[in-house]
Amino acid sequence: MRRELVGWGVFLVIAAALPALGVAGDRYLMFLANVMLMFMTLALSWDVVARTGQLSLAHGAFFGLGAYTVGIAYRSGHVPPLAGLLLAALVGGLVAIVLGVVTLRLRGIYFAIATLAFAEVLRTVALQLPDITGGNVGISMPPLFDGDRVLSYYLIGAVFVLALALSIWVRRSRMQYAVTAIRANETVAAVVGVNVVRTKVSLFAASAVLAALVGAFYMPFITHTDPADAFDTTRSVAALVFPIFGGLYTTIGPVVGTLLLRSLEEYLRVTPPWKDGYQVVYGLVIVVAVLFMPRGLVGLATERLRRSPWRSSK
Amino acid sequence: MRKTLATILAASAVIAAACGGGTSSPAPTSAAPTTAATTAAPKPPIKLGALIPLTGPSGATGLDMKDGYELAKSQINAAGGVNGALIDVIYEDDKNDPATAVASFEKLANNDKVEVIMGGLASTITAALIEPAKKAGIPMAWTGAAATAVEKGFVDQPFFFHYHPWEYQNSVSALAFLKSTPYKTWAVIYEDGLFGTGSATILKDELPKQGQSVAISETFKTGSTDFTALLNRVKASNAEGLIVVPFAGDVIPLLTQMREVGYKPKAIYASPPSFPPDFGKSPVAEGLAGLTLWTEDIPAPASKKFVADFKAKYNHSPVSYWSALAYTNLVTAVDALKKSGPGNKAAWITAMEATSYASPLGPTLKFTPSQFIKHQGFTSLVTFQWQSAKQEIVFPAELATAKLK
Amino acid sequence: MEALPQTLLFGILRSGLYALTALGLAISLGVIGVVNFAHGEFVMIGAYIGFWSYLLMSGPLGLGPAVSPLVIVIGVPVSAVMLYLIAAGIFRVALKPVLRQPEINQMLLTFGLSIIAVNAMSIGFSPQARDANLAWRFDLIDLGFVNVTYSRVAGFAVSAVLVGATYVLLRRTRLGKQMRAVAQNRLGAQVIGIPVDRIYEIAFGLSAALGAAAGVMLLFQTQVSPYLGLSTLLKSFSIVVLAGLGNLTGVIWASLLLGIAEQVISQYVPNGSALRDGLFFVLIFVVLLARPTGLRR
Repeated sequence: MRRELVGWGVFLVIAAALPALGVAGDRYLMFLANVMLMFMTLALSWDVVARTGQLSLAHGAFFGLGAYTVGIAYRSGHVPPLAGLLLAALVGGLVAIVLGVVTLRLRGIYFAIATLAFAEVLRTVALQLPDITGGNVGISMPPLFDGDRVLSYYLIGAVFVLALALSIWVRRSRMQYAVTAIRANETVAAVVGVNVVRTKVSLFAASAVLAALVGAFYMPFITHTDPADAFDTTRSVAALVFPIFGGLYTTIGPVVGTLLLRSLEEYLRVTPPWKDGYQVVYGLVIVVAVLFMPRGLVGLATERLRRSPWRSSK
Repeated sequence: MRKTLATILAASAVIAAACGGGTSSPAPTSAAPTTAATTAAPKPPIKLGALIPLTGPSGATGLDMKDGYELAKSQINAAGGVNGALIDVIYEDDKNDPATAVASFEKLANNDKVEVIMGGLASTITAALIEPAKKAGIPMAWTGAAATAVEKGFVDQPFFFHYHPWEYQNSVSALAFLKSTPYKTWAVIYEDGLFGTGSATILKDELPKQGQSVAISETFKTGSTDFTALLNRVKASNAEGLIVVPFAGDVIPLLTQMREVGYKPKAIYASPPSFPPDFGKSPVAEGLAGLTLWTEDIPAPASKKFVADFKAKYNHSPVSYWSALAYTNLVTAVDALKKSGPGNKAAWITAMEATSYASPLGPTLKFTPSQFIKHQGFTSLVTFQWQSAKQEIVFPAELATAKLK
Repeated sequence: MEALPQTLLFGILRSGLYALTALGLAISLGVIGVVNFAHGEFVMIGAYIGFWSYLLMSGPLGLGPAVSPLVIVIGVPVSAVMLYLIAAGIFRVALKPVLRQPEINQMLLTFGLSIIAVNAMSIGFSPQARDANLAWRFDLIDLGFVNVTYSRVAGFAVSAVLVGATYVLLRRTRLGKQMRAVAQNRLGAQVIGIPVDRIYEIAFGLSAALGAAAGVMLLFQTQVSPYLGLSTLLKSFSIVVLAGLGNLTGVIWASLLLGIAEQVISQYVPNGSALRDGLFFVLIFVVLLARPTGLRR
């Protein structure tokens, strides 16, 4: 426990020092660093729901909900972004509780499709209420911290720390037993005294709050969004690709998975000769990863360590 | 221990990624061909950026633009480049995603340090670039993005030069044509995205002001393969003419399903951003009218030369007007660079303001103030009609190549 | 209400291709237990093979008006066989090794395959969407109360034949019985001597072949582009979920429901053409809440 916390402490210190290491002046890298933290937070929050055995495709929807809450609050009442952030967390959490109560008894692909349907419905609603949402013209906002990407980096960093804390807490607290039992067999879990509904709904809601916060950050950070962009399903898919690549049901997996895959994608996207076919390479990396490291990077790493001759110390 | 180690490894990967990205990004992108007639020591190439969609459904239009840029680039470099230095265009894919577009914009402006950023297609993407652009103050020679909201965002920015007409200018051109027709009542159907809504809303507001009425107005989602219910309602409205604002893929299903429900308006005015390739050969094309910036067959000499050069390089005709627009985009941006020399933003802006270019698109390109911005290029479009598989211009009369049938 | 007969007819005709596309997905889900995110790409590549056969027949071969039926008679089987082989190859190389891995890994794998297929096609054959100018897309059959293109009728007829044939295969043949046995109990099937991996391979190939046939028939309705797969996938998933996983008869009912619901919403709900997809997802939502494992079973 302490070692893990020390490890993450070191990670956070280094991440916090990143702008001071000469990156602050590079607006391109600072932008990527902000986006990186957004996706790490999404990945961590998705993984928390996955631990209860539920495959959510609603994270893009909560992201959009957060973005639109901030946007609409600004548009109709000039609510500043930071206050909007809190409002978005509240809205995201409340909607997630309602959605969770009605959908979380669905399992596997049924739950996935129901959450996907939820995203599609939100998108349609946003399109059809132009007086409130701006319709397909979308919503524009002045830039967060006047476009200062170092300050915004620390803001999204704070959200990331929340996600990190949630992920570690669920694994290290008594919650872990409940979660593992639910994933293995809900009926048995209920028999041994786990409050299945409450556990699932509360984790789903906590996770949705984080996704909504990321969307709420995105709105003033990017300054413009519309229904197609805010409720883009590719974000829901990204939220599940990164943790699987890194290693499910862990804290380090989603973080490292996001870090490596996002960096790789961006590197390929801007670097010749990969530029023209970067998405093919990206797809190949995913396929090869599943074939040769079924438990993600974390699984690969632990296997290596187990085999290593120095492992006698533990 | 294991966890600690792994975490520290992860953290160092952040740094590595950051530093790696920093050093690798300004890598030179082309081995400069030294075929130019200059014998002086080769100067470093002059870099320009093009930010366009290259993947995803919008990628087709982005690749049309890239064809135009590459044609212009090869001609410019063959003629000696900019005062002896060759030009190099760095293409960045915006993926039609705002976050990717902003990242690419920052890379071009701050890391590649290009002279000018060109390109641009979707309004949503450009809207996300307004703030980064103001911060960077980098010259922009921008092609697409017709939404009025984007124009407002760039209000009075001296570095912003916009080529494509704004949506209200599109509508002025359309309204002038519609007024010239004998039909009084119109039905308006449009795709429910920004493109369709933007154009159709103005038409719906303005038609009554010129003595024509909108009998019915309906929206649809682009890509839906069935329009029969919608067409039934439109048919029941008894409007004389039909105005459609679709995307390319919706055109043929709409027109065939009009036959299925037996709907035959006296005139159909359809303005997709581009028509499907080979559309002219389909039996539903004949008689369809529409709005465009350019067609392959316009009689302007610059256009004829552009089409001939394009066919010589690529062995096929330009697919859409975006190739011609991109060609014009690069040629004019480089012409201004020739006058200003590299690295002088103020002089480039002055040189651009003096642009007077007999463009392949037909009109001579000059930059004049529009509603909100200082430098608007093209301001009007032409109406054409599909006649015997060709796009004949029918309006305005002074540019017409055929009569409206 | 005068539009009602036409609304119902078009809804029913539309449901044919929905069923054909979704049936392939339902087989890979029901028999192998794999949620195949690349199923839409089978449809897309199948459509391209059909499109090339169209180009060949209408261009160099100059077959003129005979092209429309020939694309069906020749294009559909050729495309189906090619996709069968491609899918069988994919099964051996990529899918078989991960069958014992968690469901979620298989999904990620097929997701990766889908990205590769879409982008490789986009690079190889341009992202430009293309239309096949098939005469049957434009020629009308007069039914008295409404005109219908040959395309609509052909799409439904081909789907009906193939869906019917698949049912006969599953119900009446030895192979079909083996497939159903494997679907119900993998271990048990293995014990009684059924070559399970071989059956999986055939089922995966069959699912791709059905998708490819649907892809060729889509040429008669819409444009072919590398991005064709995504739009078909979402609807197919909805149908399979509505039907109840592994319930193959349910696919027909769910497809009919989707086809008719879309048509009725477009016709009778104000601004229905724009609201259609959103309302359909509301419907899925409601059905799932009422029957958490789909409509039937």
